[in-house]
Amino acid sequence: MVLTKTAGINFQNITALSNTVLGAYITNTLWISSGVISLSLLIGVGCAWAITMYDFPFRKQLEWMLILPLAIPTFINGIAYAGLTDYAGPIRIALRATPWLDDVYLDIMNGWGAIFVMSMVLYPYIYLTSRAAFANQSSQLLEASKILGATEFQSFYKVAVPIAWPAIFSGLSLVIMEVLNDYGTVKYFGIPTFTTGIFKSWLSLGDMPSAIFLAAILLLFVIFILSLEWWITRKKVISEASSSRALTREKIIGSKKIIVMVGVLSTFTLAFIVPLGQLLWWLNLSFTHTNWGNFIEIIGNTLTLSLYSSLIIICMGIAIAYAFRVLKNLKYIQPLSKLTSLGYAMPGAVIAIGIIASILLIDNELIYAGIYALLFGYTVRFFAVGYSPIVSGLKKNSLSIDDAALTLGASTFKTLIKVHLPLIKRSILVSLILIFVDISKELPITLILRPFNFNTLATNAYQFATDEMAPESSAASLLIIFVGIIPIYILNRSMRSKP
Amino acid sequence: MKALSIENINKSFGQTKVLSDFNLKIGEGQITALTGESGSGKSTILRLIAGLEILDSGTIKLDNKSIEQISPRKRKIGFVFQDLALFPHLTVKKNILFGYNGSNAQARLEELLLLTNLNGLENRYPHEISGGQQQRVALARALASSPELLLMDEPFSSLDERIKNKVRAEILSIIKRLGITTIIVTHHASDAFAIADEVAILSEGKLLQFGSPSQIYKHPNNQYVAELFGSGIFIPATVNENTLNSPFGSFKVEQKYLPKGGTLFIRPESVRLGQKDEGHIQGIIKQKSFKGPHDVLLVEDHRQQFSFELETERTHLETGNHVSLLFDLNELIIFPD
Repeated sequence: MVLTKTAGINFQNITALSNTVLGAYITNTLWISSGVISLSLLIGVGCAWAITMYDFPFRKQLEWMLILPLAIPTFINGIAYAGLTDYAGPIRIALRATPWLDDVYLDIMNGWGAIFVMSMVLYPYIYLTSRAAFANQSSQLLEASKILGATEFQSFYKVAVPIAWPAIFSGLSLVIMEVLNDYGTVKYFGIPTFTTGIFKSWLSLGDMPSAIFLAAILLLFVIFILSLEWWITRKKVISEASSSRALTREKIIGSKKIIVMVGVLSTFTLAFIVPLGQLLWWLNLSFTHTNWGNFIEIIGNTLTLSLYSSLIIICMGIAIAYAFRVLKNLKYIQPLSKLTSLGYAMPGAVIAIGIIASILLIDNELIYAGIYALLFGYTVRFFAVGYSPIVSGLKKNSLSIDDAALTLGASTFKTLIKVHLPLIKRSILVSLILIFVDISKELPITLILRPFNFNTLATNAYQFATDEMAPESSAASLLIIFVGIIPIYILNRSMRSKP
Repeated sequence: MKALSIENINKSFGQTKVLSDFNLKIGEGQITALTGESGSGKSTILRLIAGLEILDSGTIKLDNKSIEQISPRKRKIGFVFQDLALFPHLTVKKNILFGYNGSNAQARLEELLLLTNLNGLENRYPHEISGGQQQRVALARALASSPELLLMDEPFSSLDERIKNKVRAEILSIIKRLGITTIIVTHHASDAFAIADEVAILSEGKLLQFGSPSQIYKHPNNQYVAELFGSGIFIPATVNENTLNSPFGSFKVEQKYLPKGGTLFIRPESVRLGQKDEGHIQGIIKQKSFKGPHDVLLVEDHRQQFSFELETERTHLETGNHVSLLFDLNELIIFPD
C-alpha cells in the first residue's frame, strides 16, 4: 500500500526533506536503536544468566518480577521518568535541599534518556527469550566447558551465549520493532526520528508524499530486521540441546552474591518500582481534580474499540485457521502466520499512513479519520496477536475429532460450532485479552486515525503529559500497566509449563 | 446388515502408491480384521470406506450399491478411531448422542448404555472414566445411529496390556450380539486372529491372504503370513513325486499339491517326541530355551543343526540328551521358492 502510493509523489518536498531533516532522522533512529539494543541486551541477558545459574534470596520471586516492566509502555515510562527528574520532581527537590548539590540538574529529556527509559521496559523481551534458552541448554555443556578449564565468564560468552544467540536475537528483534514503533517517548523528549517525522509531515504539514517516503524507508528497515531474524533463527534446530539433567544452580556467597543481587534488584527497582511509584504519587496529587466521568468514558472508548477489533480479528482468525484445517493444508499455516506477523512488526505510524494514503487514493474528499479507519489499523497491526492463540488452540484438537464428527453426520460448520469453538474458548479469551491490552496502550495509529476529540487510555495519558498536566495522565497510565500485567501472567505461565 | 465389496481400488498420497488394484469381499454380519505392518495400507482402506479419504479409482459397494459418491456424513458407517476422538468437552451422554437424529433420544441412549454396560456414567466427562469405558463410549457413539457397517481403527492400541484382553472380549461380545458387519484394523496379528471371523493380511498395499484364522494358520500362503501368527521353523527342501528331500532325510508326504521345491515350514504342534531310532531326525540337544508353552531345542544330528519348538515341559529333556523327533507328515507346509 505504502509503496504503491510512493509512485505519485511530489519530489520537491522530498528533496527538501532529504536536504534538511532526513539526516537527523536517520542518525537519531540508528543511534537510539543501537543504544537500546546494547543496554537491553546487557540487562536482559545479564538478568537471565543470574536467574538461571545462581541461587540467591528471592530468586523465585524475581524470576517473574523481572518481566513486569513489560507492562509499562515506553512512552509512559518516559513521562514518569521525565516527571521524576524535572524541576518539580522529587529528585530535583531532594537535590535542592542538599547544600553541595543544589546546582546539579538531572536532564533526561534527550537521546541518552530515551535510550534509558526504553531499555528499562523493553529488556524483558530479551530476558524472557534468553532465560528460556539458558534453561533449555544442557547442563553438561557448561560442565564440560568448566572441566576443560574455562572460567565462568569464558563459559558464558564462548558456550552459553553462542548457543542461545538465535533465541536472544528473536527477543532483540522484538525490542527493535518496539523502538521503531515508538512515537510517544521520542516526541515527548523532543528527538526527531522517523516516526516523529511521519507525524510532522502529515499531521502538521499535510505533506502526504513526504510522510509516505519516510514510512517507506522505515518499512525497509523493518524488513531488513525481519530478514536478519529469519536468517539467524533458521539455524535454531541444531542448537537445541538434547534434554538432560536439570541445571544445578550455584549457591553464590560473598561479593558475588552482593553484585548479583544489587544488579537484579536495582534493575527491577529502576524498571518497575520507580516509574510506578512516580505514577502513584501523581495519582495521589491529581486524584481530587481528575475528571472521573471523562475517565470512565475513555475506558468505555477503549473497551468498545477493543471489542470490535477483537470481534473482527477473532472471526477472521477462526475462519482462516479453520479453513486451513478443513482443507488439510496444514503446512501453509506456518507461512501464513509469518505473513500476518508482518503487521505486528510494522510501526503503527507506517500502517496509519498506508491506510490514509489508500483512502485518499479512493476519494480525495473522504474524511480519512474515523472509527472504521481506526478498526482497520488495529486489525492490520494486531491480527497476529489475536490469531496465534487461536491457531495454537485449534492445533491442540486432534484431527480425528473432525473425522469423528464427520462420520457422525455433522457438517463442517456444525463441527466448528459444536466441537471446536467450545474447545478453544480459552484461546479466544486469551486472544481477546491480548488485543485489549495492545489497543489500550497503542499510540501512533490512534493519534493519526482517531476521530476528532476521541480518546483511548493511551492517547489520554499522552495528551495530558504533552499538555504539561502529567499528574492527570497517571490514572490512565496506571490502568494500562495494570491490565498489561494480565497477559504477562499468562505468558509467564505458558513459558513455565514448557518442559 | 450389509455385505461390503471393495473392487479394484487405487490410492496414492503424493508420489507414494498406497493401494493398487486392491480387492476384498466381506460377508454380511462378519467380523473381518485387516492386519499388516504400518504402511501396509490397512488404515487407508478403512478411511476410504468411511469417505475420510477420496478414492483415486475403483469402487466400494455396500450391498451392491456404490457408496463412494455419498458424503461421509451420510454413509451410515460407524467409525471408532484409534485415539477414540471422544469430544472432551461433552459428557458421555452428549458424546453418544452427538450424531443421533432419530426420535426418542433418551430411549436410544438407555438402550446403548445397557448394550455397552455404561449405565450410571452418562453424565461423566471422558477424562473421568477408565480407558476401557472410554472405548465403550466410542463404540456406543459409533453405533448410535444404527450404522450399516462398523469400522474400528486399531481399537485396542491405546489400552494397557493388562486390561486389553478383557476389553477385547467385551467389545467382541457387543458386536456379536448386534451381528453388525465389522472391519477392524490392527497391527497385532494376535488381536486379528483372536476376534475376527476372517482375517485379511496386507503388505505394501497388497492382499497376501484372506481367510478364517484357522485356515491361515494351517495353510499360510507364504513365509511372511506363516511368521505373522504362531511360530515354527523353516527348512529348505525339494520335492520329487511324493517324496520330500530335506537336509535331515527323505520321506513320503500325502499332500495333493506339492511345489517342486522350496521351504518346509513346521509348526510346533506337528513335532512330537518319538521312540529311539523311530524319529525323522535324531540328534543331541545342544541348547534348550524356554518360550512359554514350548521349549526351543537346538538339535544337532550328524549332518546339521536345527532349532525345533516343541512341548517339552513334561519330558525333562536336558542339554546333552539324545532326542528323536517325529513330524506329522500331513501338517507339513511347503512354500515354493
